[in-house]
Amino acid sequence: MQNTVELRGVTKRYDEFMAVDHLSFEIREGSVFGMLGPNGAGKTSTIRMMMGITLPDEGEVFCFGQRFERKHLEKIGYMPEERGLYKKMKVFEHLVFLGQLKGLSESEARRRSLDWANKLDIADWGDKKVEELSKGMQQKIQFISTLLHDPPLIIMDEPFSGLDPANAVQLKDVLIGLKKQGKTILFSTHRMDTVERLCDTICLVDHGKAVLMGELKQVKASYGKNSIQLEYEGDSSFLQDKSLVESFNDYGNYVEIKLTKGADPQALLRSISSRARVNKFELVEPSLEAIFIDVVKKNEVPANA
Amino acid sequence: MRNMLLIMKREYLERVRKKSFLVTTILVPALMAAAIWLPIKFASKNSLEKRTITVVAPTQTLADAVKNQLLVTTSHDDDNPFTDDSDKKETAETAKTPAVSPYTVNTSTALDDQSRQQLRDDVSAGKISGFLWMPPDAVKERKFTYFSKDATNFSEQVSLQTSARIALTQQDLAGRGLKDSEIKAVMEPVKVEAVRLEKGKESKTSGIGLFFGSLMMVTLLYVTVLIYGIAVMRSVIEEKGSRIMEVMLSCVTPRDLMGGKIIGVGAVGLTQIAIWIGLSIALSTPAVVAFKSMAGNVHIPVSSIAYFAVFFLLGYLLYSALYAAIGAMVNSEQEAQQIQFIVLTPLIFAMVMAQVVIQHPSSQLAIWLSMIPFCAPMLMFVRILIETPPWWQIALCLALMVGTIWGLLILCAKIYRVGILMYGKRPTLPELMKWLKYAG
Repeated sequence: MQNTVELRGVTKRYDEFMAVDHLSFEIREGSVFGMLGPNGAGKTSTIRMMMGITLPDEGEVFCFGQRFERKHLEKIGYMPEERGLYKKMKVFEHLVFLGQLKGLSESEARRRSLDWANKLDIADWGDKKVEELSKGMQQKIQFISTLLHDPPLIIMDEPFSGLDPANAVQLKDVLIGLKKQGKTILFSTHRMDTVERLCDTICLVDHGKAVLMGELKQVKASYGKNSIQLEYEGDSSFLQDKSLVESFNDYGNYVEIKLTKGADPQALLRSISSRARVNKFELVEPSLEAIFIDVVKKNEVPANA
Repeated sequence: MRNMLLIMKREYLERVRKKSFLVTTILVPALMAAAIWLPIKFASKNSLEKRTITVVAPTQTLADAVKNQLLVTTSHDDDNPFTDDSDKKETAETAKTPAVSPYTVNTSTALDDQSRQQLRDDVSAGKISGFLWMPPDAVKERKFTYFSKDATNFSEQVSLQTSARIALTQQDLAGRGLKDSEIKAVMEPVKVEAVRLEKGKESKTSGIGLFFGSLMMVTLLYVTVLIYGIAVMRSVIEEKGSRIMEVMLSCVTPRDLMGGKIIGVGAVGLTQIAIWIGLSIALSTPAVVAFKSMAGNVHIPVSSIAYFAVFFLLGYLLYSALYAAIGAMVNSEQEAQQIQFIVLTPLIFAMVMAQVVIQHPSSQLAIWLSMIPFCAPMLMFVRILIETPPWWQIALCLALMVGTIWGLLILCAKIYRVGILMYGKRPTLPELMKWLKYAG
C-alpha cells in the first residue's frame, strides 16, 4: 500500500535550537497515525514543514508519493493547535470563505457547510457572528472548515483540547467515520490518553527525535502485561517496595504501577491488601504515557552517564 | 491568484459593511474643512472676543487719532480669504452699515506713573484687555509699548502698529498744513491681488483660496494614507492575535495573504475617495450653492482629485507595506505604537514641509523633497496643485515611487512571512536581518 506521507531525515533549526532532528516516518494510506510527545518536542514544527508553512533545513517531505508541492494542500485538511477564526464574520460566510480558499466553488462550499452544520448541530448558528459563539462551537466550526474539501489526508494538532466530553465524543465519532471511509489521519498531541485507542501506528517524539515508533499493538505487546491499575484507600507505603515496584505513576484516583521484571503480581496484591483497602486491581498493558516515560528515562540515562 | 482575490474580497466587504466606514466617509472631509475654515474665519479678525483697550498719549488729538484708526483697521480687517468678487458685491450691498470692530477704545492723556500703575492693575484685574503707552519721548522715537495679558496676539500687535503709524503720519501731515481731505487721499490703503496664471489663462481660484484648498487636500491625503496604512497593520495584528494565521497559511501563501489584504484595504480607501469625488461633483451643482457660499470659494478641479487618487494609491501602497511588516513583527497594538514612529516620521516631516512647499513650489528644496518617495505623495501632490511642475519631474517622481514600492513590497513580504508565525518578544534589528535571511 502507498504511503500518504513520508518524512526523510527532516530537520529544522531555529538558531542553535534543534526543533526537529532528522525525523523520518511513514504514514500508510488509510491508517491513523499518532505523533505523540510532550510540549516542545517538535510536533507542530514537523507539521508546519509538512504543510509547507516552513521549509525544512534538511531532509525531504513526500506527500501522496510525490515530493511536497503546494498543490497537495488541496488534498490535506489541517487543524492547527492554535485555533483561529475571523471573529466578525458570520459562521456560514466564514465556512464558505475557507472552503473557497481550498478550491471549492461558492455554491459547493455552501452546500457542504450546511451538511456539516446539520451533522454537528450548529446549523441554527449559521447567521451568527463567530464571536457570539461559545468556544466549543468555534471549535466545531474550525473542525468543519478542516474537512470541507473532503481531504484524503487529515492532520489534527491537539484535536480534543478545550472540548467538553460530549463534543469530544461527537468529533471522535466523525473521525472514526472518516477512517472507515479510508482517509488517512494524523493526530499530534501531548495528551496521549485521548488518542491512544484511535491510533494504528504511533511515533513518540522527544527533543525533535523519534524515540519509539511502530504499530501500537506491537509496541504495547513488547512491553507485556506488566502494569497494574490500582484503586485503593489507605496506606501507600507498599509503593516504596523496590523488590516489586519498579516505578509508579499517581493519577490521583488511581495509580499505575510498573512491576519489576519477574515479580509476581499476586505478591503485590497480598502486600497491598494487608495494609490498604483495594477497590480495583487490574493487570493491564502499560498506557502510552507510561511507555513514553519509560523510553525517555532510558534515553536519558546514557546521556547523563 | 484566486486566493488573493478571495482574501481581497473578504477584507473589502468586511470594512465597507461597517458603520464606521460611512461615518469616516462623511466626517473626515467635514472635520478637515472645519479645521481649516474656522480659524481663518475667526482668528484673523479677533471677532472671537470683545476687547477693551486704553490708548494713553500726550495729546487728546493723537489719542483720538490712534483710536479712530484702530477702529477702522480692525473692522477693515475682515478680508475673508474665501470670498471672491461676486461674494463681495453681495456683502457690499447687504452690509450698508459699516462693519463693527470688536474693539472698545478709551483714551487718556494722563502719563504719570500713578495712572500707569492704575492701568496695570486694570489689566491684571481683567477690566481692560491692555493699554498702549505713548509718552512724548517714545513718540519721538516712534517706539511704543503695549501692555496686555496675552502678548501672543500678533494680529492685535500689527493692528496697533498700523494705527499708531497712520495716526502719527496724519498728525505730521496736518502739521505741514495739508487739509483733512488731502491727508485722507494720501493715506488711502492699497491692495495687491494675486492672480494665478495657469497655462496662460487666469485661474478662477484666488491665491489664498488655493493655498487653503491645497492644504486641505494634502491633509486629507495624509489622513487617508495614515488611516488605511494603520488599518492594514491592525488587521495583521488581529490575525496574529486571533491565531487564524496558521489556518490561513495552510491554504494560501503569505504573499497572497499580504497582497490580498493590502489590495482589499486599499480598495476600501479608493471607494471612499470615489464617494468624495461624487460628493464634490454634487456640491458644485447649483442645488448646493448654499453650502458653497458657506465653504467659500475653495475651487477644487477634477484633475486635482484624479491626482489625489493616484497619490493616495502610491502613498498607501508604500506605507501599507511598511505597516504590514510592523504588524507582523509585533504581538499587540501597544507594541506597534512603539515602532510606528519609524513610519510616522517621514509622513509628519512631509506634512511640515508641505507648508513650505506650498509657498515656494518651484524652489530647489521643494523639487528635491518632492522626489523622495516617502514624502512624494504629499509634496509632489501639493506642487501639482499649486503650479504644474515640468512633466519630467512628475514622471521621475512616479517612477521613483513605483520602484521604491516594488522593493519595499519584496522586503516587507519577507518580514511578514517570518513574522506572522512568531509570537513573543519583538525582534531586534539583528534578529530582523536574520528573518530576512530565513525568508530567503
